Amino acid sequence: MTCETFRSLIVSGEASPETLAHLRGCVNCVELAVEVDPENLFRSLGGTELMPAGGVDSFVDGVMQQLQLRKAEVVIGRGAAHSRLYRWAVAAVLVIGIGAAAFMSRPSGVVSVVTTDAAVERVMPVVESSRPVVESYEGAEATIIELPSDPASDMQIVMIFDESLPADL
Amino acid sequence: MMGADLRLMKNIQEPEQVDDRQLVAAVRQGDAGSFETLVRRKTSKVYSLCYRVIGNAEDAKDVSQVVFLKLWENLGKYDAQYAFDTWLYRMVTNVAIDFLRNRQSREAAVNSNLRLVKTVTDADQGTMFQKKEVEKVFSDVTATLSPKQKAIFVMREMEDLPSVEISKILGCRESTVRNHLFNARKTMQQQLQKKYPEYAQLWKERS
Repeated sequence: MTCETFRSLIVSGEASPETLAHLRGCVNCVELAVEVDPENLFRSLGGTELMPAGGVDSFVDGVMQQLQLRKAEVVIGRGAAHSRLYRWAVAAVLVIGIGAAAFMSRPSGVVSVVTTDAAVERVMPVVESSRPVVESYEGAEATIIELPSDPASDMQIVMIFDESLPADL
Repeated sequence: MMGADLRLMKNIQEPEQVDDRQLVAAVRQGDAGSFETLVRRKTSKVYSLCYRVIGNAEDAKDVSQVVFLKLWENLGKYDAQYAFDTWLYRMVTNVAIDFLRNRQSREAAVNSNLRLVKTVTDADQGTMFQKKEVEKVFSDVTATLSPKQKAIFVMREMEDLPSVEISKILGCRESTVRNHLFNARKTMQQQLQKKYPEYAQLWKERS
């Protein structure tokens, strides 16, 4: 479209994709177009497809790299979820195992103590065979006190006071 | 503020032998190559809309990347009975609007007192409407629009989408779109009068 055609169309208020394309491509016609319709000022900015700095290849590479990172994050996230699940499962098995073992080993009823003659007979020879321990003590400055004892018992309590003995004896 | 190192893409046409829906179906079956093709095919559309709504090249690039990652995550939700571009544009506008809302809340105090000075020199007299200059004006004039108003204005006046299509993208009624457009124009007119009286003279009241 020539500038003259554009001007005649724009003045008569006929807008079309072609007139818009001319508006956006021709610096010389913008001023007249804005006088006719001030919004043409901003319309003149549109239309053209823009590309990010660095070009489309660089942009697409960036997006795909980000995508790979996201995918990796998802995989790691799943792995973490699996390992969490695994740990929970192990913990559950342990708890159940310990619980079951405790349940199985608990006393099954009332504990009864049975004393039989045979049991007494097994213990008595051990008691009868034990002899009293008799030790002698001599000391120049020792004070020995024999506590009164039961005549029926063969046990005698004796207290020995001797300053020559070590304190921690 | 506007990207100085923008590259314009003209007449770059990728042979589109495979329909968008077919690509989506292939991606759903695990074909990463198809996703790469889809990204390559839609990069300019997504980036252009992001850039015009956000107004900053670096941010637009980051937001575009986020859009494609969201696309990959949500591709399973796409209903093939609807146009893929409409669905994609909805995602772009949602992410861009969210970004703008966050940025506006951060920069509100800074921008409130900002007044960009018209930078046209004598040498530019013949080409008063330099793209970069207009971009600056647009960025400043739309700074007070709500993110949704700005997105609608961009889609209507720069991406040349009809109101009915915008309503599908945003999931609202067409009358709502027209209402947003009306309010956006009114606000822009006021801002232009306030910040750029030299341009505002051109903006006559239209019935």
